Amino acid sequence: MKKTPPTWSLQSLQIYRHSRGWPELSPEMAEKVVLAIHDIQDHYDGEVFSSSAEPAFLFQPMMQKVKDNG
Amino acid sequence: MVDLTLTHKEISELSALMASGQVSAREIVAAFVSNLELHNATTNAFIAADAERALARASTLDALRGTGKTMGVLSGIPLAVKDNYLTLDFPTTAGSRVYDANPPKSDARAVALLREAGAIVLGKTNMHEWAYGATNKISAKGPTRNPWNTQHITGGSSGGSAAALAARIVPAALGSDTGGSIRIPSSGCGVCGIKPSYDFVSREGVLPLSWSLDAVGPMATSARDLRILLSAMIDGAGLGFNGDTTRIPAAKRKMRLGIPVGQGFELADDVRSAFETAQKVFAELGAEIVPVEISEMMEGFAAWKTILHSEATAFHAKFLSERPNEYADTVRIQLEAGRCITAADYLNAQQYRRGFNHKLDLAMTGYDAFIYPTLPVTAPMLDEEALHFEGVTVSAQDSMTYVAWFANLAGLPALSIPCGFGKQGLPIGLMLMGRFGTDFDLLGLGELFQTATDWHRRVPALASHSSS
Repeated sequence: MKKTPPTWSLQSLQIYRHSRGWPELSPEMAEKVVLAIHDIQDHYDGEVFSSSAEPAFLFQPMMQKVKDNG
Repeated sequence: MVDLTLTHKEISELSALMASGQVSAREIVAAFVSNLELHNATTNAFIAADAERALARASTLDALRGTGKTMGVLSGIPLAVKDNYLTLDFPTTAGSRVYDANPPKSDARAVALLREAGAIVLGKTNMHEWAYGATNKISAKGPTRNPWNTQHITGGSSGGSAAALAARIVPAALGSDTGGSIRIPSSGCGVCGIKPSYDFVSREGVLPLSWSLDAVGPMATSARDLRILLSAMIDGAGLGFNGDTTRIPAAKRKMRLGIPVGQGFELADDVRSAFETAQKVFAELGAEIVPVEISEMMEGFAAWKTILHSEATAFHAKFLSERPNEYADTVRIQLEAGRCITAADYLNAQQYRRGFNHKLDLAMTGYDAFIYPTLPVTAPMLDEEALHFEGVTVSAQDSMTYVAWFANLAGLPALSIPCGFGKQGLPIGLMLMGRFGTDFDLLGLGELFQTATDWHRRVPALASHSSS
């Protein structure tokens, strides 16, 4: 499957954090955060994820089914 | 004199002994308290305990029983509670330095229900900080050590509860599970645990990790004991259950079990061998076993991670802004990364989730359960960072959640029970996952397996000196 190209860098992370008023991270911490973001994004395929016609996930229909049937 | 052989008995056996007057609740609690004193320093399973209060409560219950009063199903049974459940009589820290809540107004709903049934809370158990990890190496109170080999992790995040059960410090415990955190340490420590269907048990009063993935559930040394505990934990505050909690339908007809196959289902050799033996046990019990191709595991894993990190970061936003340096680095890194996930990515992941779950439900139609090892490996060593098996290399953390996460993405019930030992002498767990709402049927399958095997009765050397 297609992987999403990394969208965050050390620089963009610090710029984003600054824009939100969050404290600057140490270079070591920032590097690990960028790696963690890439790890989350690994295998994330925006096209596949957004192509479903289904509404966002809800457990409610399944739960109701169990309530009804016992 | 304390009778340590009591600590090797199941809940149902202890209850029978009390009901017949052969043993008092105080004698039972005293035996487990002895094991707390013997094994807690080695395992670091409990981070808070109050033996005197537990003994006093046992004496009160004994006096009540003496008056002829009908006792609850868990009367006199010592219980360990994971440190993310709010409790009236112990502080709650979620294994962290961050959380110092004011005393709660009530116990977590599940704890209150078990106390109403007569359980005696012995203390709070160690956990991976904020349940945000599956190794139990990261806790403000230090790592939990595996009773089978203290150089190895327990798995987490309910690792303290699993270690307490394996070391026979308690016969019953509570855990929570967002990507396998009840099942993973149950597998790693050779005990039993069930992640119930989503919202089957009330999460009220349990500190969240990820609201749409979290489940709370019981841990014990047998599937039969899990049935007793889970039955007592269900009420109208959660989804509830209207059916018969005592049925074991699997034994009365042909069972059909699916084995998921495809990318993402790799196993270490010793785990595969134990799994093949477990399949033979089920086959001899009359089960038809069928491989079932499951696709999109990588996409599902990405959706699970996106949802997990987004929801965890939302809960921690205030603490993260005010007290960021009080988190363990590994936990803070995940939370800071979660801040960079967009709302669109989160919603796309939730949207994808619905389709994934629908396809999984279709694949499971006609099967009593899917069975698969809970972990692809046995519990790694405390300092082991990466694991290699069947051509893949993964971090210790990712090896723990390797297949466990998808029961949370789909909200399905999943049980872990012991099914053998690996080449290092560490336990291997078998996971049974059922369709939504089949929690008690799964426990029936587990009970059936445990009528034909005795893996769940094995005790680590550390605690075996107290066997009869």
